[in-house]
Amino acid sequence: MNKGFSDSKMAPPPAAPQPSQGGTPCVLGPTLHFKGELYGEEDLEFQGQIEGSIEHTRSLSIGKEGGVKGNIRAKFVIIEGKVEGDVYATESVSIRANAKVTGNIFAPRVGIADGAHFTGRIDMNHKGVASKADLTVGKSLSDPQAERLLASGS
Amino acid sequence: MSNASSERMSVFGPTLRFKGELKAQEDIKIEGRIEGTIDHQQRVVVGNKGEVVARVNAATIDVDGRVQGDMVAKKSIKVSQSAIVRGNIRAPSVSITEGANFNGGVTMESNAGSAGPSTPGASSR
Repeated sequence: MNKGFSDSKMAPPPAAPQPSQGGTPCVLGPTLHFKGELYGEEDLEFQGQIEGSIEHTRSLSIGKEGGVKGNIRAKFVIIEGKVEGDVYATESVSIRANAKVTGNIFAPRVGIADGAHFTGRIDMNHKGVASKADLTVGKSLSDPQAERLLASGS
Repeated sequence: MSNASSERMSVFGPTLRFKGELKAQEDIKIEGRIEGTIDHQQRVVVGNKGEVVARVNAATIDVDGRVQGDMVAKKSIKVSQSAIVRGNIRAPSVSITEGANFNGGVTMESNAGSAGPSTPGASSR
């Protein structure tokens, strides 16, 4: 209801923790609708809608117009939009002021900004985050590179 | 400024992989891998590193990378020199650059699916 005064102007930009190595920053725009599994290894700003899971090994930001229905796994997760599902991060989860999150969060570091909507549980001692992610990543995608990344990240 | 298609273009980066249905109404460049279907209202560019194993529907399709699957465009399809395409393509205007690897059928018809007069530049948001 009280959505904060200046919706967007005050919120700092979702500056990615490190510049993406690939060159072009990856932005998926607001009219994109995904249904299925998304997997990535580069910093990603997601403004679209996705129904399904996201497996990521780097920084993932769900933009203001972004919406996710499904589980998210990544290293850093920054949420400014809507998320319905569990969020697993090997480093941190940051929920920004206008975000709406319904689901559980598993990460060693979690931040929820004043004004954010959050319903769910937070687990910061979930040591199995990485290994759990390992297992599922291994099962569904069998990507040794991702496993190595996740393992070294923990 | 909003119509500078190359600036506001979404980029589906090279390490991204997606399996499922993708729907969009804005220009997108695919450098990653997509399996499934792509249903698009605008322009799709399959970049050099892009790999698409899918049925692709769009207004305009430019292929620089690999595509396996049928493509239908309302306006045009361009297959460039670096492209590797396996599948049928259908569009009112088709161009294939010499050097491209193309295996499949070509149909140049305007009634590609529901060929309503698509209003160009209507919604680029």
